[in-house]
Amino acid sequence: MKNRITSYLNQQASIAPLAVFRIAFGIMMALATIRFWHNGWIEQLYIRPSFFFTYYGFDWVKPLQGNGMYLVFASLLICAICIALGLVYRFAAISFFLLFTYVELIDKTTYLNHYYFISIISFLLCMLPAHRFASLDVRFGLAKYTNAVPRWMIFALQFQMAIVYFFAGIAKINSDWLLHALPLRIWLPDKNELPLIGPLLNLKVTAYFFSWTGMLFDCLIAFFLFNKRTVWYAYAVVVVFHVFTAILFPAIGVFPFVMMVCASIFMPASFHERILHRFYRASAQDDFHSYSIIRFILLVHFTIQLLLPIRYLLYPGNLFRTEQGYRFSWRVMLMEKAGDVTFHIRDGATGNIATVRNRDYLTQQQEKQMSTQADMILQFAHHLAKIYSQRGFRNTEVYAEGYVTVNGRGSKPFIKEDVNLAAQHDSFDNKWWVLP
Amino acid sequence: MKYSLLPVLGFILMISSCEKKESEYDRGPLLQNIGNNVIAPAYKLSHDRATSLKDAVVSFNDAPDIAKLQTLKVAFNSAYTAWQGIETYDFGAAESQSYSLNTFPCDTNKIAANIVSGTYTLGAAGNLAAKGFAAIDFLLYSKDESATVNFFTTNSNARKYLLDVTTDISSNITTAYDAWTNGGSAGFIAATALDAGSSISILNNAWAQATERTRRERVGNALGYIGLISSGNLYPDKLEGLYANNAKELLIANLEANKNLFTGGSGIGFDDYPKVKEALYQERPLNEEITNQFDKAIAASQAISGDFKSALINEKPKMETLFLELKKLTVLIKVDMASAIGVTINYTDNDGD
Repeated sequence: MKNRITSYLNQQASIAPLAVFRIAFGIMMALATIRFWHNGWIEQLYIRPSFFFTYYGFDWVKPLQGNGMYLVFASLLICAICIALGLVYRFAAISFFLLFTYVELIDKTTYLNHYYFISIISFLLCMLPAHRFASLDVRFGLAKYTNAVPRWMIFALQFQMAIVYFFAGIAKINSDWLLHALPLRIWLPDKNELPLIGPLLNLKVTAYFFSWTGMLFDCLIAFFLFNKRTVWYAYAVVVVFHVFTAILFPAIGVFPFVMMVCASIFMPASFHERILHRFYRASAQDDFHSYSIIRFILLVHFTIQLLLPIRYLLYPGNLFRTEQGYRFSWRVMLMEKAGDVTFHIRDGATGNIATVRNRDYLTQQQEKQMSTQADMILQFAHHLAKIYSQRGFRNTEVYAEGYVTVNGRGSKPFIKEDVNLAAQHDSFDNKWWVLP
Repeated sequence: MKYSLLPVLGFILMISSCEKKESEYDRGPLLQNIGNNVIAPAYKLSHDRATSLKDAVVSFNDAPDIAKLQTLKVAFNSAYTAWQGIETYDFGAAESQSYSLNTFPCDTNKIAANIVSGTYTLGAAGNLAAKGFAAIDFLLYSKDESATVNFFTTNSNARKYLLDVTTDISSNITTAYDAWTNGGSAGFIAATALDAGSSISILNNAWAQATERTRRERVGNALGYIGLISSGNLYPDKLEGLYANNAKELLIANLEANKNLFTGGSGIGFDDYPKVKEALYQERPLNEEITNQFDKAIAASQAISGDFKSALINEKPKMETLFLELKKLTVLIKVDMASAIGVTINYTDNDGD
C-alpha cells in the first residue's frame, strides 16, 4: 500500500495543470484585489477602525499608517499579475502569500474561510514550480523549462481542495442543517425575488433539498473529482453548484469563482495541455531532487490541515455558541447567528460604573462580529479596561451583558454577567464564562 | 453522477410551473403598508406640528406674554411628541437627525454662550447639544413663566436663538418629509430585496439603534443602573424633556410609535411577516413575544405614578423594572427579529460564519 502511494505520488505527470492553475489563480487574485479596492474596503476595514481584533499570538500585527495599506494592496495586485504571467514567480508568490496573510491577520472581524483558503493556496504555490512552463520566467531564461513534474505536486493542490470540500460537508452533518434545514430555511426566502427559482425559495421543501444536496455535494464531490471516469461530470456539477451559491448568496463574493477555477486542477492533463499547447517544446524534464524539504513541509502542512477542523472536539459545550475551534475548519454558511453585547466598566475603587456604547470604538461590522464571538468580546473587554484605566478608573473591572441567538432559536444570555473579563486572559483553554 | 442534474432540473421545472402566486413571504405589501400608512403619516404629523411650533415662536417673539408662552409650550409639546414618531427613521434624507435634532441633555452653558455672542453655526458639531428639542425645552421651561417672558422680552438675542433653533428643527423635518413624499416612500417600497441597502435592512438597523438608544438614554443613564450591577448614583439631569419634566410621556409616545411600526397599525406589519411568526422565543412565537414586550414596556412606564424625575427617588424599583423591559425589547428587536428576518448588515463579503 505504502509503495503504491509512493510510486503514484512520484509518477511523472504533466506540468500543464499546475501552469493553468497558476495563471487562473493569478488572474482571479488580481480581479479580487481590484474589486476589494474598488469597493472601498481598504479604507473601511483597515484604515478607518481605531481598534483591530488581532488573532491570538498575533497582536503585534498592525495595519500600516497613512497610505501604507494602499501600498500593500497595490503590491498584492502586482504580485497577482506576476503570478499569472509567471514573472519572477517565486518572489511574487512568496510576497503574495506574506502580504495577503499579513492583511488577514490584522483583524479577525474580516475572517472568511475563503480568505484562509487563498492564504493556503498561495502558501502551496510558493513551493511548487508552477512557473517552469508557459511563463515569462521561462521565456526570459529566469527558470528552466520543464513539461513534467512529479505527481505529488499536482496532488498537493488537489488534496487541499478535497480537504476543503470534505470538511465543509462533514460540518453540515448536524441536526440543524439536515433535520431542520437551518439556516437555509431562514435565508432562502430572502431571495424570493429571483427570476424563475424565486417562488421556490419560499418553500420549506426547497430548504431541505438544498441542505441535503449541499451536504452530499461537499462530502462526495472530491471522490468523483479524483476518479478519472467521473471527473468531467463532477466538474460540471462543481460549476452548477457554485453558480447556484453565487446567485443565492451574493454576499459570499468571489468564493464560488475561486472554487470553480481551482477545482479545474482535477481535470485530466490533456485538458490543460490543450489550453497551453503553444508553449510545448522538445521534451525537457527535471528530476526535482532538491524538493525533499518541500515534501516534508507539505507533510507537516497536511497533518495540520487534517487536525485543525476537528480540534473543536477538545472543547466542551455547543460549538455554534462558543465557536471554540470554529475558524479554520471550513464551516461555511452553517448558521444564522446574531447578538448584542453591552459592556459595563466598574471602577473597583469607587464602585462607579460606566456603560459603553460599542459604536464609539468599533465599526458596525466589528460590533456585529464581536457580539457573537466570545474571544472578540474578551479582546474588546481588555481594550476597554485599558481605555478606562487611562481615563482614571482604578482596578478597572469589565462586565459583559450579551445575548445571542443561533438559527432563530431565540436570544439567550451569552456571557456570565458577574465575571470580570478584565481578569480573564485569552488562551486556547476553554472559555468557561461563555454560557451554554 | 451523469444523472445528478436531472432531479434538480425536474424539481425546478415542477415547482416553477405552478401558478406564480403572491406569497406571504413577499415583502412588497409589508413595505407598502409601513411606507404609506406608518411612516408617511408620522412624517406629516411631525412636519405639521413643527410648522405650528415655528408659527407659535414667531407669534411669541413678536410680543412675549404669558398667554403666548403657554400656547407656545403646548405647540412645543405636541411637536416633541410627534417627533417621537419619526426619530426611529434615521436614514435617507433624515440620516443622523435623531441626534442633530434631539441630543439630550442639552448643554446649557453652550446655549447661554451662543445667546450672549449672537453668532453661532447651529450645524457645527460643537452645537449638537445646544440645539434641537432639548434646547427649546430648556429655553421655555427652565425658569418660571413670568421670568421666561421677561427674559425673552428683554433679550433680542434670546428671541433670535429660539427662532433659529426652531427653524433648524422645522426645516430639517420638512426636508425629510419632502424627501419622503417626493420619491423617498416610493423608493422605500420598491427596495424589497433583503440585502444590505434594502429597505428592510436599513429600517431594521435604524430601529435597532433607536431601541438601544431609548433603553440607554431615556431611562438607563438617569438610573445609573446597569445590568445586574449598580453604582447607586442617580442622574436625573440626564432625562429627556428635563425641564418640562415629561420624560415619561415622551417615552410612551416613542414606544407606541415603534409598536405601531412593528404591528403595521391596522395593516400588514412585521408581526405578520412569516419569518417573524415562525421564529420562536422560548417556545413562543416571536411576533407575539415582541408585541407583548412593547405592551409590557408601555405598561411599565404607565405604572410609574409620578414623573420620572421624582420616580428615580420615590419609585426606583419601578424605574428599574422599566429599564429591564426596555432591555429585553432591545434584544428582541436587535437580535431576535433581525436574525429571524435575516437582515444583512454586512457591507463586505461574508460566508455566514
